[in-house]
Amino acid sequence: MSLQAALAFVLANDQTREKLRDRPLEVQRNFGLDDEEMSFLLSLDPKRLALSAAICKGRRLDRIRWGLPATITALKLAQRESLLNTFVRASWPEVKLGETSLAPRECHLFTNYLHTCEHDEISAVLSNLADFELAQLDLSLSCEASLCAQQLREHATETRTLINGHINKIDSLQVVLGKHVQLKRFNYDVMSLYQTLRRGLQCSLLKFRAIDNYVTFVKNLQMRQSIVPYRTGEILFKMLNHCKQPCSTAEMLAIAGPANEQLAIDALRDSLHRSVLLFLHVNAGPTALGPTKSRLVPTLRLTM
Amino acid sequence: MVTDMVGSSTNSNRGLASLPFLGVGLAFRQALEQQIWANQASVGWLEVTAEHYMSGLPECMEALRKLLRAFPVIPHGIELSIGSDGDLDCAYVTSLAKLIEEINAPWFSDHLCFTKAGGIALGQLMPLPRTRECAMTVARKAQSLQGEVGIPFLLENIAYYLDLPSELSEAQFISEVMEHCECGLLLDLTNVFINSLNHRFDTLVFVDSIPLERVVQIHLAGGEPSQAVFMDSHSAPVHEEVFGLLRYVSDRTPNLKGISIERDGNFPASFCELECDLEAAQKISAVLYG
Repeated sequence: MSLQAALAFVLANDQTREKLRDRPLEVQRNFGLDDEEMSFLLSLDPKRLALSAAICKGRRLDRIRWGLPATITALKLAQRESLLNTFVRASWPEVKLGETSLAPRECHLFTNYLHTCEHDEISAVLSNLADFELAQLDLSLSCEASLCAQQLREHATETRTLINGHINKIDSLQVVLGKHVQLKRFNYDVMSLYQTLRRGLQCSLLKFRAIDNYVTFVKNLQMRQSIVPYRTGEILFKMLNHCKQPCSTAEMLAIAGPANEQLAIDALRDSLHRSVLLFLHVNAGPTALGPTKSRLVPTLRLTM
Repeated sequence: MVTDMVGSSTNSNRGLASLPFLGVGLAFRQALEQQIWANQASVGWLEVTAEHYMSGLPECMEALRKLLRAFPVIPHGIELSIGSDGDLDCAYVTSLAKLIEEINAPWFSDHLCFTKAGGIALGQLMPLPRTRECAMTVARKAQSLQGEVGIPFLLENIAYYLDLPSELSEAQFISEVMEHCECGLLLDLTNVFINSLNHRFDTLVFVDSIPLERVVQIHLAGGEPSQAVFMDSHSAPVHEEVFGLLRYVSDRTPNLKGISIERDGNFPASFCELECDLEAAQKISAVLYG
């Protein structure tokens, strides 16, 4: 490795910096530095080196605060902010070619780290909350989701007309889940927790009980907060999950089962304006979709 | 493609001289958006962070196009890492070139530093070892990038807290880079001021030692003292000493085309504070550019 690489490790990793101070020969060996390069590293002012390392860590924390603000608030409430420091001390983001922003990746890395720290109920809530925020962040930064949401916006009038025209054929449509939608299952009621924290209210994390929780995140560029989370019932969640590939509403209703058929139809109708499903074709059947993707035009928004 | 590395001051100066004069502008930040729209007449142009738009996210591009309809816009990057060992990141350069084409910008800029090394993304501007070899390498990459993108590329002097023992002073290093490429300089006067405090040098000696005829753009901002050093926090009004430096360099920078004020934190509730900075910079530059 080069001298520059060694310097980067010294800045990113506290242990390497400590080794440079206590066991410099080990650093020299590990990075394959010659004597001149080693004396360069050793000549660096330790205080300024530590300061620069702290600035790098501070930037990392800023990126996590930007992407996972509610999780950070919850960490404070639970008096577990030290997890942030432990995280930035124990890891660093690797270079990814073409990357233009480190923030989303830092948020992913930190969320993964929280998953590894799950040892009690509070830590499980925290890692669920981070998953919740991450789903929103990913969707907000997804070009594919934006393009889909944009098309829906552009075709809004046409869509409304089609919805009205086909409302009675709700069990015979070909649909697909829009790319502007993400479905997530949580083990805790993190949506309530998220909303409480967003309102700036104090709360105990343990108040948010362990319960299977389904959320549909929808990107809507007309909203100020472009990602809207919807609480979703288990049956509807399963129905929507089935539509990640194009399918018929008849198949969706079959998932709900005969006992829930009317509920499922109501759920489909009830959410006509939430832009979750994209209409593909009327009179659905295995061949109705056709072979090309060109028909995946979001001409009709359906329901949840 | 690497273009010829001639380091001809005459060639580069001729190219820089023909760039449009933009006057005094602001670094665009989301937190300032409303104030900028409400005070459009006070803002001559906007500098946008290139990486915020390089992913091509449709809503971001729509917002950028809205800015473009109202202001001249210059892209300013933070993640090029021109000083990293090895070649430039081709995928990054392709996205950057695409953005610059969309903006139709007269020039673009990034920092004379490294932000990535040894596979680690530091996410922070770090100083380079100031050697002739390093200067040549950076100059070659800068020239290549400028050739690929097709418009002048400016390198910005950074604020640094860790001084690397080097054969050249910072001013000599900058001069050496400029000597070996035809790129321009984005002179951050606040960084000069802050570095002079943290590393104890004379700001006037510094600016007199760099090729001021290559300066196309100037950055102004306000920093803050912390425990051990003065921080380049962009969280305060521009320091009087920095305006003093602007006065000093203004009539020594024949190719100066734009001055921009950066604010990244402690955003003022009203535009008055930024307007004072804008007006002060305008007054100083108006003496020279009318």
